[in-house]
Amino acid sequence: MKKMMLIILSLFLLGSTVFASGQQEEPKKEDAKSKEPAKAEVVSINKEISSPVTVEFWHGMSAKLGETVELLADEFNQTIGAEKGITVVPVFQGGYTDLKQKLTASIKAGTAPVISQGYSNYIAEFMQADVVVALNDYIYDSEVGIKDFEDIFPGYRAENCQIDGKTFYSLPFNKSTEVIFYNKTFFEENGYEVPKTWDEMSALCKTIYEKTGKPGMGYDSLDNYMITMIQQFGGKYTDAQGNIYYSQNDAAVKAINLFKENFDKGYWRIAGEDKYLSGPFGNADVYMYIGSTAGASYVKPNGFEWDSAPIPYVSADKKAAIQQGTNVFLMNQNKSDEEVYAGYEFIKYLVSKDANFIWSTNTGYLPIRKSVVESPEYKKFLATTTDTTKISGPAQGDYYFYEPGFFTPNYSSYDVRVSLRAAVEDALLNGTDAKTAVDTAYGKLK
Amino acid sequence: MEIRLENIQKKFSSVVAVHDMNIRIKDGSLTGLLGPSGCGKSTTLFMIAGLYAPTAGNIFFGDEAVTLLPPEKRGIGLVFQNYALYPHMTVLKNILFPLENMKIPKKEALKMAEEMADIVQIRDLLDRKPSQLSGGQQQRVAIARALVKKARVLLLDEPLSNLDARLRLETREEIRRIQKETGITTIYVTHDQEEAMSITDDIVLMDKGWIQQQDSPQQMYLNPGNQFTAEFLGNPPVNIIDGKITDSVLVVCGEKLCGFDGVEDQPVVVGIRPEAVLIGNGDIKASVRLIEIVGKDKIISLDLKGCLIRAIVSLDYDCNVEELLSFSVKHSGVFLFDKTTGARIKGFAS
Amino acid sequence: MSIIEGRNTARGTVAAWVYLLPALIIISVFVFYPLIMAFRMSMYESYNFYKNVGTGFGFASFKRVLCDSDFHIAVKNTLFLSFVAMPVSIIISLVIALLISSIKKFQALFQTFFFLPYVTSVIAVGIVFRWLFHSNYGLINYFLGLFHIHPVAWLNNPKTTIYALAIYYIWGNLAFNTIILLVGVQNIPKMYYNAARVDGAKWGKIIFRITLPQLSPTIIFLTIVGFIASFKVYNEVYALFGDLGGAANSAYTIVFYIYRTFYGAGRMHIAAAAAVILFVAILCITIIQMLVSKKFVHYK
Ligand SMILES: Nc1ncnc2c1ncn2[C@@H]1O[C@H](COP(=O)(O)OP(=O)(O)OP(=O)(O)O)[C@@H](O)[C@H]1O
Ligand SMILES: [Mg+2]
Repeated sequence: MKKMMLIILSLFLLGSTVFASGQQEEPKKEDAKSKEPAKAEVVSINKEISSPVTVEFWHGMSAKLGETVELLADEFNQTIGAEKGITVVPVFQGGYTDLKQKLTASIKAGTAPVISQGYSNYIAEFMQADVVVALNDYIYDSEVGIKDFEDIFPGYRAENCQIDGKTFYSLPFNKSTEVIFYNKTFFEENGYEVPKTWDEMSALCKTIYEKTGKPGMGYDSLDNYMITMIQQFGGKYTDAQGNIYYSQNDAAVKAINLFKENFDKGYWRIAGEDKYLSGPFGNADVYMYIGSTAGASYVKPNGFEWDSAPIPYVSADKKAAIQQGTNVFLMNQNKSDEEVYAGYEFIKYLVSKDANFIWSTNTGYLPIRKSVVESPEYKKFLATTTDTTKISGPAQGDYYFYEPGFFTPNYSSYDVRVSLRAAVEDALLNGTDAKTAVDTAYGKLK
Repeated sequence: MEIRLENIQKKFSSVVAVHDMNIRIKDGSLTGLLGPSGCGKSTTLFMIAGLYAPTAGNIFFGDEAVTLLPPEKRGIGLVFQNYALYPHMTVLKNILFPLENMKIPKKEALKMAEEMADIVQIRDLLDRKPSQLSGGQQQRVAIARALVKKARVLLLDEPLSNLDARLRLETREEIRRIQKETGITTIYVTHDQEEAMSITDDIVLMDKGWIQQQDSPQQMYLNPGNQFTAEFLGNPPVNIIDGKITDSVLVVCGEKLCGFDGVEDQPVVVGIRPEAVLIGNGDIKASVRLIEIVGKDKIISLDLKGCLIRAIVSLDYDCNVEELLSFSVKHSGVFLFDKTTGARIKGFAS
Repeated sequence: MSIIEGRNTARGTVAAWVYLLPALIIISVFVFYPLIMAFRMSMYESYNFYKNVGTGFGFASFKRVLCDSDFHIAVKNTLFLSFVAMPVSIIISLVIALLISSIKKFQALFQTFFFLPYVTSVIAVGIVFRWLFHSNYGLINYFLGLFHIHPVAWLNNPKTTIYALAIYYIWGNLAFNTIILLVGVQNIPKMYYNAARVDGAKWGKIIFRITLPQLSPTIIFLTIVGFIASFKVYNEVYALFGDLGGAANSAYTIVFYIYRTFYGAGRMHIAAAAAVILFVAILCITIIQMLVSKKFVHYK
């Protein structure tokens, strides 16, 4: 026991010396550094591969999605890769949570991969390590640049240069949005129409509840509900610099109250213990749900047909639907310029028309290019698939918005999202007043 | 309290630990239950205690049949082979435990415990834990715990086996004293014949689950009923040699030892107590093979035409190895046993 | 030999240090260094984890953690697990161990049966439990229904998530506790039970006066291990509630909070401050436990 105490005491001692020295020296270093904008130092880019390189692509795509990633990598390796001496090795790292965890660890260890999938808040966080590669010099290069860059939907381009509105740190990859999944058979039997506005939604759900005793609609991601509805109620969520706006008007409170009114009466439900509503929807325990288009393959209707439609709006002039899914980005930690260039060639391929066509027709994700949507091949594909989210999703393309990803010492975009979800749940499940819930969520971040 | 065992048998799955046992233990006596390891002593004792149910037979305490009574209803005190003092309780708590279970008021219980502690002379140890006591002290605590509830019968399972030689001598006297002081009927299990011989009033000798003999220690020694009894008792042990009776004379290794009247001619097993070999007194000749000094005795091994016979002489008796001595045997110390059954064959001196 | 004899000499001390050196190096690298770094990180207002550079030295991060309502939930839940669920788990295990040890036949079979949960994955079992707890389809509510108890939305209601977590935690600990206690029970010499029977003790008394005191070192061992484990509960939360941490964050535990702050939000200095608080809490509780247990435990 005594020995134990001794060890602990000496630990404290040791620790305090470290703090003391840190206190004296480090702020200076930090000062010097922090003046410079966090930006990778690519001045003139390398476009040559002198000897064959192999780069890793870390991703979080399992099952069919993972197979498609492999397919794309193979395709690349056999064509462009073979020509230039590049081999891309996709490495599955588990779900997004695991992927983030492994990226953090690998950057800390100095072994980050060249290419990775990730949300914009990952990139914001990893900027601290000065490892994320700014892509403009590649994208706009006269030789190796992306010639038809403007073909990529503006919303996606905006998301990937959100930090300053011009510097691209990533490119869009697996993109999806939220749509209404509804029980077509049930709707036809009863002569219901898919609601276009939230008022219609509430009214229809009331009717359904009174008829069946079951909730009419459920929302998978309450985070997304809040972020979307803040926009629809005329508010602003955050910006990419980490300024929070939702507390400045009553949009968030209205959003919570709208859900609460319908939830309390049993008209709407949340996923809760079911995690995703595709399960209860398949069992006809709920007749509509709003969820990701990427989840379409999990809808297994039990004796009915389903269809999808754009999500409702509050007013036609303020339509908003979230654009979801991750992007791909490059890191140059202990990597040669050639390896980084090799990585660029691969992500350039991923956003190309060919690759994006393969990706969006083999998975639940949506096209990121106008040319893909308008191509005859894609139209042919739409005629054969039962997955109508491929139509209802892009139909919202005009009013897509993205969730800014940022990182500050006190909170990150992740915290904002999580705290808002907790706020809705607090209001719905604990009966907390909407205003109080929003204030609490906001207070947590300050 | 007289104890009777009638046709008691105990089987453990396939092993028969005790066979058809009939014994009577006299009220107020200190009876030794003696036998080699594994012969069924503890099993018998545990049946008397009520910890084991006999497979067959009945047990009586006085006139009361107790066969089906649980241990606490039998009024017995039991001292275990390793004392089994509760290690987490103080000496006092150990002694109080049985009283507590009898719901005796605290004050009275305390008085009884202290009285008992006085009898076994551990008054000053009451606050200690068993681990802080010597073996002898633990043993006395165990006896106190066994007796404090005013037991009618005290059962001791090899109570001295954990003590050193010296303490063993002291403690067995102590047990004798306590037993006489309290007058309690006591069964004392031991595998040590000397221990049994020195303190018990009566011995029940067992082997392989069978009763061999029940007698007073002296009678059992002087008059063993079979070869096992003769061999088990006595130190140095009895000499066992093959011999035969021819014309009422016992012949061993071609040498006539002594006359035996009333015994038919037959081959026999001969037991000769070492102290019954009288050296320098007689005309049988044998050479000295080995001389050992064991405590206060001198043991001489005699070579009688190839048969070894040990004799006890006094320490000051002088002789050398290879020396030729003459001897005779005392008839009362020579026993004949049946070659196949080991049963005693009695004869008369002639 | 010289070390033993020259225990107090300078040479002996040097030799001792030389022998200890490899162990010390390993411990420093894998235990002390991260520990010190965590302490250091927690003392900054903002910290670049990737470059180990911090600004704003002080207790700001601790203040943030201590004022965070999610952390309050985490502390409350963690304390519930350690002071209610963990003791309940030991008590249930004790009962099971006593029952198993009192049966003669199939003892080994039961022993294996009760050990099974120990070798199954927490996450896999979590999926099963999610179904057991389901408000419409779950077996638990089905049984409650048999006694005319209204179905409970175990995993949906912020007020019941902690009970679901506790039940799952208790179940997950039964195997280990039961096996250890069973070994403890079986190691109690039979003679004490015989002695107690002769002394006229009834079974209740035997359990409370003989078995439990004899088991006290085992129970204390399980309590200390259980305490520390219950302070580190994370997997169970993840298995039942995924990475959301339960309705309105109601199933947060301290480690879950640390994990989410670290990997989810990427605010490592805040996570470090929470970790330091946890470290100090475990340290204090362990010391108190050791001091207290000296008084009550019987060691042979
Ligand atoms: N619980 C039991 N189950 C099976 N066999 C047993 C059991 N207890 C005793 N035996 C067997 O019964 C026989 C008698 O055992 P017991 O303990 O009565 O011998 P003992 O005379 O007391 O020996 P010791 O002097 O070594 O104590 C032995 O063969 C022993 O192996
Ligand atoms: Mg025995």
